Amino acid sequence: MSVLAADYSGQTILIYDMDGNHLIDTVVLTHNKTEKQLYVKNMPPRLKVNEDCKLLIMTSPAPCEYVGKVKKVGGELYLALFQGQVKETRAATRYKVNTPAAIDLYICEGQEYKLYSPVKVSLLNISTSGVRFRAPFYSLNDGDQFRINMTIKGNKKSLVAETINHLDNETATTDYGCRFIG
Amino acid sequence: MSIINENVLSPISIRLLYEGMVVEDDIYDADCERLLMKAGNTLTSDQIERMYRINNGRDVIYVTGRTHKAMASKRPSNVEIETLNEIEQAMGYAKIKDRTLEILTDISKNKKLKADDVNDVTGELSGCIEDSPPAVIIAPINAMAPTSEYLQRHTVNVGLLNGLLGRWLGLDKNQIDKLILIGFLHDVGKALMPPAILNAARKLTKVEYEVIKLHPKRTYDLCAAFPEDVRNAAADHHERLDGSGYPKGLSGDGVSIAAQITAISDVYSAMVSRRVFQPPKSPLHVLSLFEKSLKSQLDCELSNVLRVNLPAELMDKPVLMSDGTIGILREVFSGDIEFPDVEISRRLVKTNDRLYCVSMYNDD
Repeated sequence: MSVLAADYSGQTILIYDMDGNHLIDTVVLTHNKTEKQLYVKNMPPRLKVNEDCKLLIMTSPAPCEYVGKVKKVGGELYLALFQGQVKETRAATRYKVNTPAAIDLYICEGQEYKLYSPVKVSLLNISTSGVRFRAPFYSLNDGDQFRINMTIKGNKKSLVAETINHLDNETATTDYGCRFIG
Repeated sequence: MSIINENVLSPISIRLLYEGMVVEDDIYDADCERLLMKAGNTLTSDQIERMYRINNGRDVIYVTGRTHKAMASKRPSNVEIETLNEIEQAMGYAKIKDRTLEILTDISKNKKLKADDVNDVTGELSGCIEDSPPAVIIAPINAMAPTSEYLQRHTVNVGLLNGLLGRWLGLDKNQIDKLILIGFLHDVGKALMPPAILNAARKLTKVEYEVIKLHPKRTYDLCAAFPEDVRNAAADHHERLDGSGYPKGLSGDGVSIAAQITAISDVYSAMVSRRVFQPPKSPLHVLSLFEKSLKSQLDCELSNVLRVNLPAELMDKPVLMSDGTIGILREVFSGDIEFPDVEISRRLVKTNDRLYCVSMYNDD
Protein backbone atom coordinates (compact mmCIF):
# COMPACT_ATOMS: atom_id res chain seq x y z
CA MET A 1 0.00 0.00 0.00
CA SER A 2 1.40 3.46 -0.86
CA VAL A 3 1.95 5.91 1.98
CA LEU A 4 -0.13 8.33 -0.06
CA ALA A 5 -3.16 6.03 -0.11
CA ALA A 6 -4.80 7.02 3.16
CA ASP A 7 -4.95 9.87 5.65
CA TYR A 8 -3.96 8.60 9.08
CA SER A 9 -4.84 11.74 11.02
CA GLY A 10 -6.59 10.82 14.25
CA GLN A 11 -5.71 7.13 14.00
CA THR A 12 -4.25 5.23 16.88
CA ILE A 13 -0.62 4.28 16.27
CA LEU A 14 1.50 1.70 18.09
CA ILE A 15 5.25 2.43 18.01
CA TYR A 16 7.94 -0.24 18.53
CA ASP A 17 11.73 -0.17 18.27
CA MET A 18 13.36 -2.22 15.53
CA ASP A 19 13.72 -5.16 17.94
CA GLY A 20 9.96 -5.25 18.34
CA ASN A 21 9.89 -3.80 21.86
CA HIS A 22 6.74 -1.81 22.45
CA LEU A 23 7.42 1.87 23.14
CA ILE A 24 4.09 3.68 23.19
CA ASP A 25 0.47 3.70 22.01
CA THR A 26 -0.45 7.14 20.85
CA VAL A 27 -2.43 9.09 18.26
CA VAL A 28 -1.50 10.57 14.88
CA LEU A 29 -2.01 14.32 15.18
CA THR A 30 -1.48 15.18 11.55
CA HIS A 31 -0.49 13.22 8.48
CA ASN A 32 1.26 15.25 5.81
CA LYS A 33 0.63 12.95 2.88
CA THR A 34 2.62 15.00 0.40
CA GLU A 35 5.77 15.02 2.51
CA LYS A 36 5.03 11.56 3.96
CA GLN A 37 5.32 12.86 7.50
CA LEU A 38 3.46 11.78 10.59
CA TYR A 39 3.22 14.06 13.62
CA VAL A 40 2.27 12.03 16.66
CA LYS A 41 1.27 12.94 20.20
CA ASN A 42 3.97 12.08 22.77
CA MET A 43 6.86 10.85 20.65
CA PRO A 44 8.71 8.24 22.76
CA PRO A 45 11.72 9.92 24.39
CA ARG A 46 13.79 6.76 23.78
CA LEU A 47 13.77 7.40 20.04
CA LYS A 48 16.57 9.62 18.77
CA VAL A 49 16.75 11.65 15.58
CA ASN A 50 17.51 9.43 12.55
CA GLU A 51 16.58 6.32 14.50
CA ASP A 52 14.26 3.82 12.78
CA CYS A 53 11.17 2.40 14.39
CA LYS A 54 8.27 0.11 13.50
CA LEU A 55 4.78 1.52 13.30
CA LEU A 56 1.39 -0.18 13.38
CA ILE A 57 -1.45 2.17 12.45
CA MET A 58 -4.83 0.85 13.59
CA THR A 59 -6.84 1.29 10.40
CA SER A 60 -9.90 -0.75 9.41
CA PRO A 61 -10.50 -3.43 8.27
CA ALA A 62 -6.91 -4.30 9.26
CA PRO A 63 -3.93 -2.40 10.68
CA CYS A 64 -1.15 -1.04 8.41
CA GLU A 65 2.51 -1.38 9.27
CA TYR A 66 5.38 0.88 8.32
CA VAL A 67 8.97 1.54 9.16
CA GLY A 68 9.50 5.15 10.15
CA LYS A 69 12.57 7.32 10.75
CA VAL A 70 12.56 9.97 13.43
CA LYS A 71 13.24 13.43 11.99
CA LYS A 72 13.31 16.94 13.37
CA VAL A 73 12.25 20.18 11.78
CA GLY A 74 11.85 23.50 13.53
CA GLY A 75 12.46 21.84 16.90
CA GLU A 76 9.57 19.43 16.37
CA LEU A 77 9.96 15.68 15.96
CA TYR A 78 8.04 13.73 13.36
CA LEU A 79 8.14 10.34 11.72
CA ALA A 80 9.18 10.11 8.10
CA LEU A 81 7.49 7.12 6.55
CA PHE A 82 9.35 4.98 4.08
CA GLN A 83 8.58 6.27 0.70
CA GLY A 84 6.40 4.19 -1.55
CA GLN A 85 5.63 0.88 0.00
CA VAL A 86 4.37 -0.61 3.20
CA LYS A 87 6.81 -3.17 4.47
CA GLU A 88 5.24 -6.44 3.43
CA THR A 89 6.16 -9.78 4.80
CA ARG A 90 4.64 -13.17 4.07
CA ALA A 91 4.28 -13.80 7.76
CA ALA A 92 3.20 -10.43 9.10
CA THR A 93 5.26 -9.03 11.95
CA ARG A 94 3.55 -9.48 15.26
CA TYR A 95 3.57 -6.56 17.65
CA LYS A 96 3.21 -7.26 21.33
CA VAL A 97 0.35 -5.49 23.04
CA ASN A 98 -1.16 -5.75 26.47
CA THR A 99 -4.58 -4.25 26.00
CA PRO A 100 -7.98 -5.29 27.31
CA ALA A 101 -10.61 -5.85 24.68
CA ALA A 102 -14.03 -7.45 24.35
CA ILE A 103 -15.94 -9.52 21.84
CA ASP A 104 -19.37 -7.94 21.47
CA LEU A 105 -20.73 -9.32 18.20
CA TYR A 106 -20.97 -12.83 16.79
CA ILE A 107 -21.40 -13.45 13.08
CA CYS A 108 -23.13 -16.64 11.98
CA GLU A 109 -24.33 -17.51 8.49
CA GLY A 110 -24.14 -13.88 7.47
CA GLN A 111 -26.19 -12.64 10.42
CA GLU A 112 -24.84 -10.49 13.22
CA TYR A 113 -25.80 -11.14 16.84
CA LYS A 114 -24.89 -8.60 19.49
CA LEU A 115 -23.94 -10.58 22.58
CA TYR A 116 -26.07 -10.33 25.69
CA SER A 117 -22.83 -9.61 27.58
CA PRO A 118 -19.49 -8.87 25.86
CA VAL A 119 -16.81 -11.46 26.50
CA LYS A 120 -13.70 -9.79 27.88
CA VAL A 121 -10.34 -10.80 26.42
CA SER A 122 -6.69 -9.63 26.66
CA LEU A 123 -4.80 -8.90 23.48
CA LEU A 124 -1.41 -10.60 23.32
CA ASN A 125 -0.11 -9.47 19.95
CA ILE A 126 -1.38 -7.88 16.77
CA SER A 127 -0.27 -7.66 13.17
CA THR A 128 -1.60 -6.40 9.87
CA SER A 129 -3.20 -9.75 9.24
CA GLY A 130 -4.48 -10.81 12.61
CA VAL A 131 -4.51 -10.79 16.35
CA ARG A 132 -3.85 -13.18 19.20
CA PHE A 133 -5.70 -12.83 22.47
CA ARG A 134 -6.37 -14.65 25.72
CA ALA A 135 -9.98 -15.37 26.61
CA PRO A 136 -11.85 -17.40 29.23
CA PHE A 137 -11.62 -21.14 28.54
CA TYR A 138 -13.68 -22.38 25.57
CA SER A 139 -14.91 -18.95 24.52
CA LEU A 140 -14.85 -19.73 20.80
CA ASN A 141 -14.52 -22.50 18.25
CA ASP A 142 -12.05 -22.46 15.36
CA GLY A 143 -13.74 -20.80 12.39
CA ASP A 144 -15.98 -18.52 14.50
CA GLN A 145 -16.37 -14.97 13.21
CA PHE A 146 -16.84 -12.05 15.55
CA ARG A 147 -16.15 -8.39 16.26
CA ILE A 148 -13.56 -7.42 18.82
CA ASN A 149 -13.48 -3.96 20.40
CA MET A 150 -10.41 -2.44 21.92
CA THR A 151 -9.61 0.96 23.39
CA ILE A 152 -6.09 2.22 22.85
CA LYS A 153 -5.24 5.62 24.29
CA GLY A 154 -8.87 6.57 24.48
CA ASN A 155 -9.50 5.59 20.87
CA LYS A 156 -12.05 2.85 20.33
CA LYS A 157 -11.32 0.41 17.57
CA SER A 158 -13.46 -2.43 16.23
CA LEU A 159 -12.05 -5.21 14.09
CA VAL A 160 -13.79 -8.23 12.60
CA ALA A 161 -11.86 -11.47 12.87
CA GLU A 162 -12.08 -15.23 12.49
CA THR A 163 -10.40 -17.77 14.78
CA ILE A 164 -7.90 -20.01 13.03
CA ASN A 165 -6.30 -21.81 15.97
CA HIS A 166 -6.41 -22.02 19.73
CA LEU A 167 -4.31 -23.19 22.65
CA ASP A 168 -5.81 -24.14 25.99
CA ASN A 169 -3.81 -22.96 29.00
CA GLU A 170 -3.58 -24.46 32.46
CA THR A 171 -5.03 -21.27 33.91
CA ALA A 172 -8.60 -21.89 32.66
CA THR A 173 -7.97 -19.60 29.71
CA THR A 174 -7.55 -20.19 26.01
CA ASP A 175 -5.31 -18.27 23.60
CA TYR A 176 -6.89 -17.69 20.18
CA GLY A 177 -5.05 -16.90 16.94
CA CYS A 178 -7.32 -14.98 14.57
CA ARG A 179 -7.14 -13.39 11.14
CA PHE A 180 -8.86 -10.18 10.18
CA ILE A 181 -11.72 -10.44 7.72
CA GLY A 182 -14.32 -8.13 6.22
CA MET B 1 -37.74 -56.30 18.05
CA SER B 2 -37.36 -59.31 15.78
CA ILE B 3 -34.48 -61.71 15.87
CA ILE B 4 -32.42 -61.39 12.72
CA ASN B 5 -29.36 -62.76 10.99
CA GLU B 6 -26.28 -62.49 13.18
CA ASN B 7 -24.14 -61.13 10.38
CA VAL B 8 -26.39 -58.23 9.40
CA LEU B 9 -26.17 -54.84 11.09
CA SER B 10 -29.45 -53.97 12.72
CA PRO B 11 -30.68 -50.93 14.63
CA ILE B 12 -31.12 -50.69 18.35
CA SER B 13 -31.67 -47.76 20.66
CA ILE B 14 -28.57 -46.20 22.16
CA ARG B 15 -30.57 -45.94 25.37
CA LEU B 16 -30.28 -49.68 25.81
CA LEU B 17 -26.55 -49.33 26.40
CA TYR B 18 -25.61 -49.10 30.04
CA GLU B 19 -22.64 -48.48 32.25
CA GLY B 20 -20.70 -51.67 32.82
CA MET B 21 -22.07 -53.39 29.71
CA VAL B 22 -19.52 -55.49 27.85
CA VAL B 23 -20.03 -54.74 24.16
CA GLU B 24 -20.39 -58.01 22.25
CA ASP B 25 -20.08 -56.46 18.80
CA ASP B 26 -18.79 -53.36 17.12
CA ILE B 27 -21.23 -50.45 17.39
CA TYR B 28 -21.80 -48.14 14.43
CA ASP B 29 -23.49 -44.76 14.19
CA ALA B 30 -26.95 -44.09 12.77
CA ASP B 31 -25.51 -43.87 9.24
CA CYS B 32 -23.69 -47.22 9.59
CA GLU B 33 -20.52 -45.38 8.61
CA ARG B 34 -18.62 -44.56 11.73
CA LEU B 35 -17.39 -47.05 14.30
CA LEU B 36 -18.47 -45.74 17.70
CA MET B 37 -17.17 -48.57 19.89
CA LYS B 38 -15.22 -51.73 19.26
CA ALA B 39 -16.41 -55.09 20.56
CA GLY B 40 -15.01 -56.22 23.85
CA ASN B 41 -15.02 -52.83 25.58
CA THR B 42 -16.77 -52.32 28.90
CA LEU B 43 -18.88 -49.19 28.62
CA THR B 44 -18.63 -46.25 30.96
CA SER B 45 -21.30 -43.56 31.22
CA ASP B 46 -18.85 -41.04 29.72
CA GLN B 47 -18.38 -43.28 26.69
CA ILE B 48 -22.14 -43.66 26.25
CA GLU B 49 -22.62 -39.88 26.42
CA ARG B 50 -19.78 -39.37 23.98
CA MET B 51 -21.32 -41.87 21.54
CA TYR B 52 -24.61 -40.05 21.87
CA ARG B 53 -22.95 -36.75 20.93
CA ILE B 54 -20.93 -38.20 18.06
CA ASN B 55 -24.20 -39.71 16.82
CA ASN B 56 -25.60 -36.15 16.77
CA GLY B 57 -28.19 -36.93 19.40
CA ARG B 58 -29.74 -39.64 17.27
CA ASP B 59 -31.11 -42.57 19.17
CA VAL B 60 -30.43 -45.29 16.59
CA ILE B 61 -27.15 -47.16 16.51
CA TYR B 62 -26.29 -50.33 14.60
CA VAL B 63 -25.00 -53.58 15.97
CA THR B 64 -24.85 -57.14 14.69
CA GLY B 65 -27.64 -59.57 15.42
CA ARG B 66 -25.99 -61.05 18.51
CA THR B 67 -26.32 -57.84 20.49
CA HIS B 68 -29.71 -57.27 18.95
CA LYS B 69 -30.90 -60.64 20.26
CA ALA B 70 -29.54 -59.96 23.71
CA MET B 71 -31.33 -56.59 23.88
CA ALA B 72 -34.65 -58.15 22.91
CA SER B 73 -34.56 -60.36 25.98
CA LYS B 74 -34.44 -57.34 28.33
CA ARG B 75 -38.03 -56.19 27.61
CA PRO B 76 -40.88 -57.06 29.98
CA SER B 77 -43.38 -59.47 28.49
CA ASN B 78 -46.27 -58.58 30.78
CA VAL B 79 -46.85 -55.02 29.65
CA GLU B 80 -47.68 -53.32 26.35
CA ILE B 81 -45.13 -50.64 25.51
CA GLU B 82 -46.57 -47.77 23.51
CA THR B 83 -44.85 -46.24 20.55
CA LEU B 84 -44.27 -42.51 20.29
CA ASN B 85 -46.97 -42.31 17.63
CA GLU B 86 -49.53 -43.98 19.91
CA ILE B 87 -48.67 -41.63 22.78
CA GLU B 88 -49.09 -38.59 20.54
CA GLN B 89 -52.37 -39.72 19.00
CA ALA B 90 -54.05 -40.00 22.43
CA MET B 91 -54.47 -36.24 22.80
CA GLY B 92 -54.13 -34.82 19.32
CA TYR B 93 -50.59 -33.91 20.32
CA ALA B 94 -49.16 -34.60 16.87
CA LYS B 95 -51.41 -32.01 15.16
CA ILE B 96 -50.70 -29.41 17.86
CA LYS B 97 -46.98 -30.05 17.47
CA ASP B 98 -47.16 -29.64 13.69
CA ARG B 99 -49.04 -26.35 13.93
CA THR B 100 -46.50 -25.13 16.44
CA LEU B 101 -43.74 -25.98 14.00
CA GLU B 102 -45.48 -23.83 11.37
CA ILE B 103 -45.60 -20.89 13.78
CA LEU B 104 -41.92 -21.27 14.69
CA THR B 105 -40.90 -21.66 11.05
CA ASP B 106 -42.69 -18.42 10.17
CA ILE B 107 -40.83 -16.64 12.96
CA SER B 108 -37.49 -17.98 11.70
CA LYS B 109 -38.32 -16.42 8.32
CA ASN B 110 -38.83 -13.07 10.08
CA LYS B 111 -42.61 -13.14 9.79
CA LYS B 112 -44.70 -11.65 12.59
CA LEU B 113 -46.08 -13.81 15.35
CA LYS B 114 -49.85 -13.83 14.77
CA ALA B 115 -51.98 -13.80 17.91
CA ASP B 116 -54.77 -15.74 16.15
CA ASP B 117 -52.47 -18.62 15.24
CA VAL B 118 -51.13 -18.81 18.78
CA ASN B 119 -54.59 -18.57 20.33
CA ASP B 120 -55.83 -21.42 18.12
CA VAL B 121 -53.09 -23.70 19.38
CA THR B 122 -53.28 -22.64 23.02
CA GLY B 123 -57.04 -23.11 22.83
CA GLU B 124 -56.38 -26.75 21.91
CA LEU B 125 -53.94 -27.07 24.80
CA SER B 126 -56.53 -25.60 27.13
CA GLY B 127 -58.99 -28.23 25.96
CA CYS B 128 -56.43 -30.97 26.65
CA ILE B 129 -55.86 -29.67 30.17
CA GLU B 130 -59.60 -29.58 30.84
CA ASP B 131 -60.54 -32.90 29.33
CA SER B 132 -57.56 -35.25 29.48
CA PRO B 133 -56.31 -37.22 32.47
CA PRO B 134 -52.94 -35.95 33.72
CA ALA B 135 -51.25 -39.25 32.79
CA VAL B 136 -52.26 -38.74 29.15
CA ILE B 137 -51.01 -35.12 29.22
CA ILE B 138 -47.70 -36.09 30.84
CA ALA B 139 -46.96 -39.00 28.50
CA PRO B 140 -45.86 -36.99 25.41
CA ILE B 141 -43.87 -34.61 27.64
CA ASN B 142 -41.82 -37.52 29.02
CA ALA B 143 -41.70 -39.41 25.72
CA MET B 144 -38.46 -40.14 23.89
CA ALA B 145 -38.74 -38.25 20.63
CA PRO B 146 -36.40 -37.24 17.79
CA THR B 147 -34.06 -34.40 18.75
CA SER B 148 -34.94 -32.63 15.50
CA GLU B 149 -38.41 -31.96 16.97
CA TYR B 150 -37.12 -30.50 20.22
CA LEU B 151 -38.12 -26.85 19.89
CA GLN B 152 -41.70 -27.40 18.75
CA ARG B 153 -42.25 -30.17 21.32
CA HIS B 154 -40.73 -28.11 24.10
CA THR B 155 -42.93 -25.14 23.19
CA VAL B 156 -46.05 -27.32 23.44
CA ASN B 157 -44.81 -29.18 26.52
CA VAL B 158 -44.16 -26.08 28.60
CA GLY B 159 -47.63 -24.83 27.69
CA LEU B 160 -49.10 -28.16 28.84
CA LEU B 161 -47.01 -28.29 32.01
CA ASN B 162 -48.01 -24.75 32.93
CA GLY B 163 -51.62 -25.76 32.43
CA LEU B 164 -51.20 -28.89 34.57
CA LEU B 165 -49.53 -26.91 37.33
CA GLY B 166 -52.36 -24.41 37.18
CA ARG B 167 -54.89 -27.24 37.43
CA TRP B 168 -53.07 -28.80 40.40
CA LEU B 169 -52.86 -25.38 42.06
CA GLY B 170 -56.65 -25.10 41.78
CA LEU B 171 -56.58 -21.97 39.63
CA ASP B 172 -59.62 -20.87 37.61
CA LYS B 173 -59.91 -21.38 33.87
CA ASN B 174 -58.81 -17.86 32.92
CA GLN B 175 -55.69 -18.13 35.04
CA ILE B 176 -54.88 -21.58 33.63
CA ASP B 177 -55.38 -20.36 30.06
CA LYS B 178 -53.04 -17.45 30.69
CA LEU B 179 -50.40 -19.80 32.08
CA ILE B 180 -50.76 -22.05 29.03
CA LEU B 181 -50.29 -19.03 26.76
CA ILE B 182 -47.21 -17.87 28.66
CA GLY B 183 -45.73 -21.36 28.59
CA PHE B 184 -46.35 -21.68 24.87
CA LEU B 185 -44.78 -18.30 24.12
CA HIS B 186 -41.74 -18.54 26.38
CA ASP B 187 -39.22 -19.81 23.83
CA VAL B 188 -40.57 -18.41 20.55
CA GLY B 189 -37.52 -16.11 20.52
CA LYS B 190 -35.34 -19.18 19.95
CA ALA B 191 -36.70 -19.42 16.42
CA LEU B 192 -34.57 -16.33 15.70
CA MET B 193 -31.39 -17.86 17.11
CA PRO B 194 -28.76 -19.32 14.74
CA PRO B 195 -29.70 -22.94 13.95
CA ALA B 196 -25.99 -23.84 14.07
CA ILE B 197 -25.98 -22.94 17.77
CA LEU B 198 -29.45 -24.31 18.62
CA ASN B 199 -28.60 -27.69 17.09
CA ALA B 200 -24.96 -27.90 18.20
CA ALA B 201 -24.24 -31.45 19.38
CA ARG B 202 -21.77 -30.25 21.99
CA LYS B 203 -21.43 -27.84 24.88
CA LEU B 204 -21.86 -24.21 23.75
CA THR B 205 -18.88 -21.87 23.84
CA LYS B 206 -19.02 -18.82 26.09
CA VAL B 207 -19.72 -16.58 23.09
CA GLU B 208 -22.46 -18.88 21.76
CA TYR B 209 -24.09 -18.91 25.19
CA GLU B 210 -24.11 -15.09 25.19
CA VAL B 211 -25.96 -15.28 21.86
CA ILE B 212 -28.55 -17.74 23.20
CA LYS B 213 -29.15 -15.44 26.17
CA LEU B 214 -30.68 -13.01 23.68
CA HIS B 215 -33.75 -15.22 23.17
CA PRO B 216 -35.87 -13.94 26.10
CA LYS B 217 -35.64 -10.39 24.73
CA ARG B 218 -36.50 -11.72 21.26
CA THR B 219 -39.49 -13.50 22.82
CA TYR B 220 -40.66 -10.26 24.42
CA ASP B 221 -40.31 -8.37 21.12
CA LEU B 222 -42.14 -11.05 19.16
CA CYS B 223 -45.09 -11.05 21.57
CA ALA B 224 -46.11 -7.45 20.86
CA ALA B 225 -49.69 -8.57 20.14
CA PHE B 226 -50.14 -9.94 23.67
CA PRO B 227 -50.78 -8.19 27.01
CA GLU B 228 -47.75 -6.79 28.81
CA ASP B 229 -48.00 -9.18 31.77
CA VAL B 230 -47.98 -12.16 29.37
CA ARG B 231 -44.98 -10.77 27.47
CA ASN B 232 -43.02 -10.16 30.63
CA ALA B 233 -43.80 -13.52 32.20
CA ALA B 234 -42.82 -15.32 28.98
CA ALA B 235 -39.58 -13.34 28.69
CA ASP B 236 -38.71 -13.77 32.38
CA HIS B 237 -38.61 -17.59 32.36
CA HIS B 238 -34.82 -17.58 32.88
CA GLU B 239 -34.98 -15.27 35.88
CA ARG B 240 -34.17 -16.99 39.17
CA LEU B 241 -35.18 -16.28 42.76
CA ASP B 242 -31.54 -15.92 43.85
CA GLY B 243 -30.82 -13.29 41.18
CA SER B 244 -28.64 -15.61 39.10
CA GLY B 245 -30.93 -15.51 36.06
CA TYR B 246 -31.14 -13.34 32.97
CA PRO B 247 -31.83 -11.05 31.13
CA LYS B 248 -32.90 -8.64 33.86
CA GLY B 249 -31.23 -10.22 36.93
CA LEU B 250 -34.51 -10.16 38.89
CA SER B 251 -34.74 -11.87 42.26
CA GLY B 252 -37.28 -12.95 44.85
CA ASP B 253 -40.69 -11.33 44.49
CA GLY B 254 -39.43 -9.43 41.45
CA VAL B 255 -40.02 -12.62 39.48
CA SER B 256 -43.75 -12.96 38.83
CA ILE B 257 -45.53 -16.15 39.89
CA ALA B 258 -46.34 -16.90 36.26
CA ALA B 259 -42.66 -16.58 35.34
CA GLN B 260 -41.70 -18.84 38.27
CA ILE B 261 -44.19 -21.49 37.16
CA THR B 262 -42.90 -21.25 33.59
CA ALA B 263 -39.32 -21.59 34.82
CA ILE B 264 -40.21 -24.84 36.59
CA SER B 265 -42.03 -26.21 33.54
CA ASP B 266 -39.16 -25.11 31.27
CA VAL B 267 -36.50 -26.83 33.39
CA TYR B 268 -38.53 -30.02 33.73
CA SER B 269 -39.31 -30.30 30.03
CA ALA B 270 -35.74 -29.53 28.97
CA MET B 271 -34.23 -32.09 31.31
CA VAL B 272 -36.53 -35.02 30.51
CA SER B 273 -36.22 -34.42 26.76
CA ARG B 274 -33.73 -36.03 24.47
CA ARG B 275 -31.34 -33.27 23.33
CA VAL B 276 -28.72 -33.19 20.63
CA PHE B 277 -25.97 -32.64 23.18
CA GLN B 278 -27.19 -34.83 26.06
CA PRO B 279 -29.42 -37.82 26.73
CA PRO B 280 -32.69 -37.39 28.69
CA LYS B 281 -32.98 -37.60 32.47
CA SER B 282 -35.53 -39.55 34.44
CA PRO B 283 -38.54 -37.46 35.62
CA LEU B 284 -37.97 -38.65 39.17
CA HIS B 285 -34.34 -37.53 39.05
CA VAL B 286 -35.44 -34.09 37.83
CA LEU B 287 -38.03 -33.84 40.61
CA SER B 288 -35.30 -34.66 43.14
CA LEU B 289 -33.16 -31.84 41.69
CA PHE B 290 -35.94 -29.35 42.41
CA GLU B 291 -35.48 -29.96 46.12
CA LYS B 292 -31.68 -30.16 45.96
CA SER B 293 -29.46 -28.19 43.58
CA LEU B 294 -32.28 -26.04 42.16
CA LYS B 295 -33.76 -25.16 45.55
CA SER B 296 -32.34 -21.63 45.68
CA GLN B 297 -33.31 -20.79 42.12
CA LEU B 298 -36.84 -22.12 41.69
CA ASP B 299 -39.76 -21.72 44.07
CA CYS B 300 -39.96 -24.78 46.33
CA GLU B 301 -43.68 -24.52 47.01
CA LEU B 302 -44.47 -24.42 43.31
CA SER B 303 -42.05 -27.19 42.38
CA ASN B 304 -43.51 -29.20 45.26
CA VAL B 305 -46.84 -29.19 43.44
CA LEU B 306 -45.09 -31.08 40.64
CA ARG B 307 -43.27 -33.37 43.08
CA VAL B 308 -46.44 -34.30 44.90
CA ASN B 309 -48.72 -34.80 41.89
CA LEU B 310 -46.57 -36.01 39.03
CA PRO B 311 -45.23 -39.38 40.31
CA ALA B 312 -48.74 -40.84 40.52
CA GLU B 313 -49.10 -40.24 36.77
CA LEU B 314 -45.96 -42.28 36.06
CA MET B 315 -47.16 -45.41 37.83
CA ASP B 316 -47.12 -48.65 35.86
CA LYS B 317 -45.28 -46.98 32.99
CA PRO B 318 -42.16 -48.52 31.41
CA VAL B 319 -38.79 -47.12 32.44
CA LEU B 320 -35.32 -47.70 31.06
CA MET B 321 -32.94 -48.92 33.74
CA SER B 322 -29.21 -48.25 34.02
CA ASP B 323 -28.42 -51.91 33.19
CA GLY B 324 -30.32 -51.73 29.93
CA THR B 325 -33.41 -53.57 31.12
CA ILE B 326 -36.87 -52.13 30.81
CA GLY B 327 -38.82 -52.15 34.04
CA ILE B 328 -42.24 -51.03 35.17
CA LEU B 329 -42.51 -48.24 37.72
CA ARG B 330 -44.50 -49.59 40.66
CA GLU B 331 -43.99 -47.32 43.68
CA VAL B 332 -42.45 -43.90 44.34
CA PHE B 333 -41.45 -42.78 47.83
CA SER B 334 -41.94 -39.11 48.70
CA GLY B 335 -38.93 -39.15 51.02
CA ASP B 336 -36.69 -40.79 48.40
CA ILE B 337 -38.25 -39.79 45.14
CA GLU B 338 -35.25 -40.61 42.97
CA PHE B 339 -35.16 -44.32 43.90
CA PRO B 340 -38.55 -45.91 43.38
CA ASP B 341 -39.51 -49.58 43.35
CA VAL B 342 -39.46 -51.01 39.85
CA GLU B 343 -40.68 -54.37 38.59
CA ILE B 344 -37.96 -56.05 36.52
CA SER B 345 -38.54 -59.54 35.09
CA ARG B 346 -41.57 -59.91 37.40
CA ARG B 347 -39.52 -59.13 40.53
CA LEU B 348 -39.92 -55.95 42.58
CA VAL B 349 -36.56 -54.22 42.87
CA LYS B 350 -35.64 -51.25 45.09
CA THR B 351 -33.54 -48.99 42.88
CA ASN B 352 -30.37 -47.29 44.12
CA ASP B 353 -27.36 -45.43 42.74
CA ARG B 354 -26.07 -48.65 41.15
CA LEU B 355 -29.33 -49.71 39.53
CA TYR B 356 -31.49 -46.68 38.74
CA CYS B 357 -34.04 -45.30 36.28
CA VAL B 358 -32.40 -43.61 33.32
CA SER B 359 -35.56 -42.34 31.60
CA MET B 360 -39.15 -43.20 30.78
CA TYR B 361 -39.36 -45.63 27.89
CA ASN B 362 -41.40 -45.86 24.72
CA ASP B 363 -40.82 -47.57 21.43
CA ASP B 364 -39.87 -45.31 18.54
